[in-house]
Amino acid sequence: MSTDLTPDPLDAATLVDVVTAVPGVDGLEPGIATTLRTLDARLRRGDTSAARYGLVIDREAGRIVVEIAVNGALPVRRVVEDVQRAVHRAVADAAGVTSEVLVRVQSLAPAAPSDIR
Amino acid sequence: MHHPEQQGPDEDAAATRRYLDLIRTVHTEWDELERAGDSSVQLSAGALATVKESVRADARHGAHVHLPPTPAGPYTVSELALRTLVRREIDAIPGARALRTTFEHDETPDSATGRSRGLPTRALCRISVRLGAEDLPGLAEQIRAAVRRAAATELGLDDLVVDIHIEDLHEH
Amino acid sequence: MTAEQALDEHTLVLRAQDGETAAFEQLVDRHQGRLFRIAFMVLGDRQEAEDVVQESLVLAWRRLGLLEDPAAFRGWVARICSRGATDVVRRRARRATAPAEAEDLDHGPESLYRLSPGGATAADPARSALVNAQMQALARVLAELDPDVRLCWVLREIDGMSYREICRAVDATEPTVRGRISRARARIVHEMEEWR
Repeated sequence: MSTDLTPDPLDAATLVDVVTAVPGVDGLEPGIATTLRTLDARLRRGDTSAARYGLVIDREAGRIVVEIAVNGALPVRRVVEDVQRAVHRAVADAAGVTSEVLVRVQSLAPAAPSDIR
Repeated sequence: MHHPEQQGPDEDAAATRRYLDLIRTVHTEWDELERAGDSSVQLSAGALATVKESVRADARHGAHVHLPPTPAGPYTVSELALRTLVRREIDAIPGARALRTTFEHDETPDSATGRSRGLPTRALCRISVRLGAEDLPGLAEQIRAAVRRAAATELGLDDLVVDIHIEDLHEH
Repeated sequence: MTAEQALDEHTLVLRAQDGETAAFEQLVDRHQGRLFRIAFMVLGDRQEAEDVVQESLVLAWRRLGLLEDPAAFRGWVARICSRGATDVVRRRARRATAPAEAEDLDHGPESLYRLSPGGATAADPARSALVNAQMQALARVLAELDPDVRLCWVLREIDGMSYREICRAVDATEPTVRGRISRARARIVHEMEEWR
């Protein structure tokens, strides 16, 4: 895991766009996990490159936490995996390091499932 | 400029009195201002609202439930989302209406704050069926199979035990 | 606090522990002001104080299940807040090497003179400004104290905590806490001639 010796080109704002573009994602839905870390990031002189409501890059722990709402069109697990892969790709491009991508599904839109009975 | 050692005991006492007066006065003023809603002595309205929204969102979502990781990493689902998923499955079956679903879980892998749950092991689905539905056992079995299938497909849970309790009848 | 009020808070805490957010919101309303003043006196900066208080309240909600005695809520939440404020102080100390720190707009001397957001407060903006100035002045004197000394004084004089609660909050013995508080008092008394 890289140390913080060089500025990290990875930006939470960019990752937010990556995540919301994944099919099946209804958007970020901030929960307590990212709310706390976002408040904490504000304490560091307005440095919000590592945190947005709904997405936090935890460089020390080597982990990215994403809190999303899913729209029900695709299986939850599939959407989660797509989000994880999309984030991994974006991270690998930017910094050449792999972080663990933890997805927290906050809500599911109660749309009808695709098969008709 | 006073040198402390040149101050007499009377001056010390006077200074202490002034100090205590100051402390008392600031408290009185601050309490009054807080009561009047003045934000110089408390959180701004926006900051207060954010706290309350976060707490409400957290309560609504409930604890986070651990599920088998995808090949690309770990994930959790809120209890709210889990219940929504099952409810949606049951409601899609003609003649069935979900009432309330509860879960049993494995021991949680994280510690401590009670805000996470382990793998779901069992779902208890309380449902209502439409009046005049025939073959209730068949309907229950259909529902059970649908919920098990959804758990496997949507969440990767292959061994979820599903109990169906029919506890109500409805017209439409 | 009357016995009636104390009982009421006890009930609120239990109901909040049960998951009732409305009860927790009442606790937030009751405690946010005093927590803000603790954080502000420790940090001297409004925005940072607000951030610490927000974080403390949200943490309190998450950890409410760990609070065994509802009557201890007041001291417990103040502990969370002082720890948060202390973390900020430590972080500042680690960063405050270059002279450029002092010119930083967010934390330079100018920030200590910022009035409350929007300025629009209840009845009397002039009074509000005076209170801000007074809080700033007090915070400036406190800023010259050792952070450990400052915190003990704040918990005692700003929050009215008992010595025992302070010992728990800062993890120090009573003689140490008393010593810190009298040092702080002596310093403030000495500086007082500049005010009023």
